Amino acid sequence: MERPKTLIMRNQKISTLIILFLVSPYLVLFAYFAVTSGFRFDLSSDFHEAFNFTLLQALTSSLVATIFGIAGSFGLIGIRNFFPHSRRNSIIINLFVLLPSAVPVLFVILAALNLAPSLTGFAGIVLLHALINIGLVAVTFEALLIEKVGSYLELARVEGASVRRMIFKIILPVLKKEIVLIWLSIFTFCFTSFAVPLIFGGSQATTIEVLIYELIRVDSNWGDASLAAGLQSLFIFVLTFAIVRTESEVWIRETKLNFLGVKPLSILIFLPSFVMVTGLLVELLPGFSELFRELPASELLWLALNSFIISIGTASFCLFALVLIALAQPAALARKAILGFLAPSSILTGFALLIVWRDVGVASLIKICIGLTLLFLPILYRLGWDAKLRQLRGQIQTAETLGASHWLAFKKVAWPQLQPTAAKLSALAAFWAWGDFALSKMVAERTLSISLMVQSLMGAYRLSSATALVWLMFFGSALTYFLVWSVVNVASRKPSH
Amino acid sequence: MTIGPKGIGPKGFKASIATAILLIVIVFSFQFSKNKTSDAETLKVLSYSSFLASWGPGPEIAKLFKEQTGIEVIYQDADDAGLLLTKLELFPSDVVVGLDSISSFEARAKFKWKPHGRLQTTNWTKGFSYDDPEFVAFDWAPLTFIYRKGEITPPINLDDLLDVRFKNQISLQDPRTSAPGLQFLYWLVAVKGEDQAFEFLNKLRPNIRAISPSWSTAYGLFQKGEAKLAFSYVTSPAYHWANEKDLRYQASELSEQHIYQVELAAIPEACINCRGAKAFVDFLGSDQAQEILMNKNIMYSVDEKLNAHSKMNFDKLPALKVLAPEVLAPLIPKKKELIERWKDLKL
Repeated sequence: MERPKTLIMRNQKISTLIILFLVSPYLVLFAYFAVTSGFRFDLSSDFHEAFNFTLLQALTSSLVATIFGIAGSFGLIGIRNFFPHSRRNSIIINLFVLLPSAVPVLFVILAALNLAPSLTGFAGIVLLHALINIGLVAVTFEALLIEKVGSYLELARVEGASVRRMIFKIILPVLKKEIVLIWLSIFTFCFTSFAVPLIFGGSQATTIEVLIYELIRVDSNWGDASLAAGLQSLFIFVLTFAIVRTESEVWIRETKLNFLGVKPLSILIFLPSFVMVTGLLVELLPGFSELFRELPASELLWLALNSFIISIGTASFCLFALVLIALAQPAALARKAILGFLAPSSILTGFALLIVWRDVGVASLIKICIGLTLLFLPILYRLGWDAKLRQLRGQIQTAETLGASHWLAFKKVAWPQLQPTAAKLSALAAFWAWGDFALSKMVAERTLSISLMVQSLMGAYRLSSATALVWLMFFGSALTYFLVWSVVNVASRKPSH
Repeated sequence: MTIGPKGIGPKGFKASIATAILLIVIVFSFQFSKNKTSDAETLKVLSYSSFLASWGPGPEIAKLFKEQTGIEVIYQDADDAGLLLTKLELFPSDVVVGLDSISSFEARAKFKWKPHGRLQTTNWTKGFSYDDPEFVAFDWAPLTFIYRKGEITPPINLDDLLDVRFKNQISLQDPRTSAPGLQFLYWLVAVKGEDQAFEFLNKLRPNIRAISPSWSTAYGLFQKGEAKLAFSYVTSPAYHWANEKDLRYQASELSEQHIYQVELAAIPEACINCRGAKAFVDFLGSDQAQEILMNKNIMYSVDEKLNAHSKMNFDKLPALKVLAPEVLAPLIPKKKELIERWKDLKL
């Protein structure tokens, strides 16, 4: 089934546009430094040291999170048996387990600061990263077990195989590739994590992100900071390129694997959420009275409104970009480029936006939305858009071979199936946007959102007020999530006849 | 709108999109109206977040300034005092508030500033003064170690910090990311000499509880009881006395001369409303603004008379001996080198 050349070229053009959009912060930063400093970079041995430390902490954190998360997935299966089987129960359990991974990192940091402020050093970083990611690994791996190897496991059980044998002879060999992909996404998260090493790392924990911050903060050396960010992205890109070689097969079918459940292991997946919620509850009551004493209601409302605008704007831009990607159907190189792409750090992305557009006021809000789209888009692509597009590739090609135009095939075949995922992903972007402070603080000329206020309160060590505001932020982000999800999803339904 | 069993039809789709667009337009219009400034004369002031926060001195100072001059202050947030100069490049301002003796050195190298001279009300405490033709001091405080009475015997000099009673009890800041952290490093170098300062830091290692990225985190550890000694402003106990009625918090008085933090305001040469800028800087020296700064920034006034009668009970704080600015001046250009040596210690 060959596709017309003009169509391939048009798709390539759209793919190129998307990649250009993603790399634009790098292009702007390097052009700026070429003009202002004539490309004089001087990354000292600090980078080498920071790279080693970053690699070590990311490897340890991701391995701990992956191993404990996989073990936790058996606990998750066990705990599901404990409750009556229903879609609602399943969603509630998933939401609770996924809480530390889904909420902005600010929530987890604040909870940890409330509960264990002296948690520092290498162990502190690894523990925090593991707390954030264990639930995500557990839920993902449980889904893989059920959907991908479930039928083999059921068969093995009938044949009398022990659980140990199932793990070593079926689960690990069959899911090897998926485990590596899960590890890679957690590794990428830990490798580029900024706030956790900065706050909990102590003086010796200089990761590349912290070094970038230090270069900006101590030396105002934006050139070297950009180079460090570029090298960091290149490393992740090469790693992804090397690992993501083959495409995994489509899921087989859903199965029930109650016999694999190990209830005691559920502590591994519930503990992180429990720690986070407890940490955010301890300061809640004094927090609200302190918050309302310090911030007038009108200001709170204004901040919430701005956060809402940022959230809706980011979701809209992300949705638009996802649709463009779906239209382009990036394949081969373009697909790998987006999969492996890593945006420069939030501060640098913000700085690049300020270089090209210095207006303030409403412009700041738009810049934040664009910046967040740049940061979120590759993650959203990896999180499900790529897999969905791959599933549909065959159907689209068949429709086009049967004579449908590219647009018609997209509109009638791809889009109705893509839209539920588009709704989820753009809603997720809306949810995350509420929690951004790193990019916003660079772009904004004043404290204009709830997350910036939380950061400001944390900066003044008003942890109680910050905790209360974080709860408001959580409700705001959850509300926006459902709003975006509903609008995109409802709009997707076919007309009734 | 056609709503069927499967959901909303094409008309419904259009309606949802229209509603969403309408919602965004309404919200943006609200923003435009909020951002639109009145016809009054305006002044752009760049400062750090905690100065501009609702609990900081900025909003009240701006309100009083407008009442007296009719000039509306538009604050621009640099987030962190360390990012003031970077943000100044991106957000041109009429006044910069919050530079210190170290960043003013970098500020002078990067930008041109209008001369202003000391505030008319300046009346330095005996034994200390900080005067600069361009960078105008508006508040200040020496730095020292804060402790809780009854919990530990306070240090009497820097070497006393090495004592075993402080084992794992001292909360410090990272000089790379925190102004007080950098001041501590300068203090040691100024008092002990460079090599001895780093030897001292090396010996201090077992007594350090944590080196935090910011003053707030380091002081928070101390407040939560995770450390018994924190490097902070001599005025910090006054906050606990006034706001928490907790009199246990005290500032230690060391036999050495103490380092200090002086906050500065300056007018960039490229100011647009230069007349308003001068009026604003002058206003910072007024008794009203100084009172706000003392109460909300918890820093000493540059007018010693006001400190003596402050409702923050500043008069009950120890009168520390302070290093002369001339002692520190030659060290400031060595910032990068000193930080490199500090990093090599791997504390």
